[in-house]
Amino acid sequence: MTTIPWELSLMLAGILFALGIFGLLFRQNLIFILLSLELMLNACGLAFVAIGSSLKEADGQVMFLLILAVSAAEVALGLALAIKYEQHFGTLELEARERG
Amino acid sequence: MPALPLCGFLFLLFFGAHCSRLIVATIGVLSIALSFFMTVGITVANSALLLSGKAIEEILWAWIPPINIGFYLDSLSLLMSLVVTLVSTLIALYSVKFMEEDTDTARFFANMNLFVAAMLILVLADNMLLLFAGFEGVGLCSYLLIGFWYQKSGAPEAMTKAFLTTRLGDVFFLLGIASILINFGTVNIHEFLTLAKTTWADHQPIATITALLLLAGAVGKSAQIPLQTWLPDAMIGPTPVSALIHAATMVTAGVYLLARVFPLFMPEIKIVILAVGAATMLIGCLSALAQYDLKRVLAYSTMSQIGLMFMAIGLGAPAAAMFHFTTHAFFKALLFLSAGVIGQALHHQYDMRKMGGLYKTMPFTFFSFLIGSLALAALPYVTAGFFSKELIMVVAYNYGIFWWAIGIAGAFLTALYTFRMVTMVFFGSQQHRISFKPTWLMTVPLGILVIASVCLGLVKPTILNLLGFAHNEEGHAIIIVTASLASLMGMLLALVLFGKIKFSPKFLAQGFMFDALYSVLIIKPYNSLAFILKQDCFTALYEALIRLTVYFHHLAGRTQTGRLRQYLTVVVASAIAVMGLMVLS
Repeated sequence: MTTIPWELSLMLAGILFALGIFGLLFRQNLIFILLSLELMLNACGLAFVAIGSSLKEADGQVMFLLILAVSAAEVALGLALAIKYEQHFGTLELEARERG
Repeated sequence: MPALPLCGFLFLLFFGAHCSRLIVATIGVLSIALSFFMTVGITVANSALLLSGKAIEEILWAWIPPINIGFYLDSLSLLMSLVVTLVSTLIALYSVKFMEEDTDTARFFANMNLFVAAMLILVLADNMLLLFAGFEGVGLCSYLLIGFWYQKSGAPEAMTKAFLTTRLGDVFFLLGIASILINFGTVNIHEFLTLAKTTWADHQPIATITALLLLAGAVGKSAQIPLQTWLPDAMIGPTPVSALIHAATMVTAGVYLLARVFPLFMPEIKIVILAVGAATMLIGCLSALAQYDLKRVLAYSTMSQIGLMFMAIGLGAPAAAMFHFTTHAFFKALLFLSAGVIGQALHHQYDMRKMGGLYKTMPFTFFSFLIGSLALAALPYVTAGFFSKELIMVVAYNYGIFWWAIGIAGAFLTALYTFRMVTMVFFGSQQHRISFKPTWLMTVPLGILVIASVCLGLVKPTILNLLGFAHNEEGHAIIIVTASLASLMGMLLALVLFGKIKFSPKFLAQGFMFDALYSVLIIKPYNSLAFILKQDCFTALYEALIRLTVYFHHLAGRTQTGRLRQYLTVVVASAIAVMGLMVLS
C-alpha cells in the first residue's frame, strides 16, 4: 500500500478550505452555504490528520473525531434553520431576503 | 451627644422606608430627646466645674493631624447645646403630628436628626475646622428641609437661593479659618484665642481682615444684611423646620460663632458688627410691618432679633447676645409652632388677610401665640423677652445714646408689627370655620415653650453668671421705663391701628427691594457675562471636538450594513492579509 506524503494532504486541505470560503462568499443558496461550511470543517479535519501523521501522533485523528461531532451538530441545526427559512420566505436564496 | 441623632439619621436613611410611621416618629424624636437628656446629665454632673468658668475638653480622635475631632464644653457651648436639644426635642415631638398626613416622614425625621447632629457638632467643636463642618452640615440640612416639599412651586428656587447665599458667607468663613491657621499655626479655638491676645495687641491689618472674614461667615448664616434675602423665602418649608432651623437654632449659629471668637474683634470691627446688626434690625422690623404672610412676618422678625443679638455683640456684650438668643429660641419657636397650628387649621393658608377672629375658635393657640408675641414685643416684667432685651438696652445706653435710640426704635417697631400680626390673625371678623383640634403632641411642646417664654427671665442671673458676665449695670430705671414704654406704645398703637387700616407699601413688603437690587447688580451682569463667554475660543475648540467625533461616528456607522456576506469578505481578506504579512516577515 503506497503512502501519500502528508504535504500533499495538507495542500489538498488548503484547496478544500479555499473552495469552502469561496462557496460561502458567492453561493446564494442556503443549502450550498451549509455544504461549504461542512467542506471547510472537513478541510480542517484533514489538515489535523495530515499534521498528526507527520508527527506520528494520534492527536490529529482525535481532533478530527471532535470536529466530526461538532459539524454533525452544526449541520443538524443549520438544516433546521434552512427549513424554517424556506417556510418563512418561500425560498432558499439569501439575497432574496435582503432585497425584499 | 451628637452621636445619637446621627445614629437616628443613619437608621432612618437606610431603613426608614421600610418602617411604619410610628417607628419612624419614635426613633426621630427619641434620638433627639435622649441627646437632650444626656446634655442635662452632663450639665448636672459637671455643674460645679462649669460654674467656676472651666471647660471640659475631650479629644475623640485625630482627624488631620494636628487637627483633632474634639469637643469643647464650656458654659457658652453648654447653654447653646441645652437650648438646641430642648427646642429640637419639642419641635420634633410637634412635627410628629404636623407631618402626620405627609407620605415621607422618614425623610423628614432623617433630615431633622442630621440637623441636630450637625448643630451639636457646630456648638461643641473645639477647633474652627470641625466647627466649619458643623456649619456646612446645618446648611445642608437647611437646604434639604426648605425643599422638603419639592413639588411646591417656589421651593426649589428658595432652597437654591438659601444654599447659595449662605455658601457665599461660608467661603469667607473658610478664608478666615485659613488666615487663622496661617497666622497662629493652629485652629484650636482655645489655643488661637490665647495666642491672639498676646500677638495681636496692636492694630494689624491682618487681624482686621481675619475678623471681617469671620464676620462675613456669621452674616451669611444668620441672615444679616447684606446676605439676608434667603430667609423670608426659606419659609416655604414645613413650619416645624422654619421654627427649628430658621428661627431658633441654625440662624443663630452666626451669633454663636461671633460670641465664640469674640476676643478676636477689635473696636473698629465691633462698630461694623454693631452697624450690621442695627441696620438688619431696623430693616427687618420695617419689612415685617408690611408682610401679609404670617410666616414671612416671623421670618423678618427673626432677622431683626438676630440683628439685635449682633448689636449686643458689637456693643461688647456677648453674654447679653447669648441670653437673648436663649429667650428668642423659645419664644420664636413658640410663635412658629402656633403659626403652624393655625396653618393646619386653615389648610396651609398663611395669608393673614384671610384670617381673623380666631381667638374664639382656637383659644389654646391664641393663648400660646399671644404669649409668644408678648415675649417678642417684650412686655415688661412678665415675659422672658423683656429681660433679655432690657439687658441689651442697658448695654447700649452705656455704650452710646445713639445706639440706644436705635434699640428703642427697634423695640417699638417690634411691638408694632407683632401686634399688627396678632390683630390681623385673631381679632376682627371670623372668616373660617375651624374644625381642627391640636392633639397633645402639639399642645405639650407648645405648653412647655409657653412656660419657658415666661419664666426664662427668672433664671437670667444664673445664665449670666454662667456666661461670666459682670452684671452691675442694673438700676437704670429710665432705661427700663423707656424700653417698656416703647413696647407698650407699639402694642397699643398696633391694636388701635391695624383693626382698620391695611398698610403695606410695596417697598417694605419686598424687604427693601434687596432682591431686585441683587438682580440688577449681580444676577443680570453675571448672566450677560455668561452669555458672552458662551462663545469664546474654548467653546469653539470643544465644539470642534464634538463635530469630529460625530463625523467619525458616521464614518464607522456606514460599515455596519447588516450584510453577512460583506462582513465575511472583510474577515477573509484581513485573514489573508495577516497571513501574508506573517509569511513575508
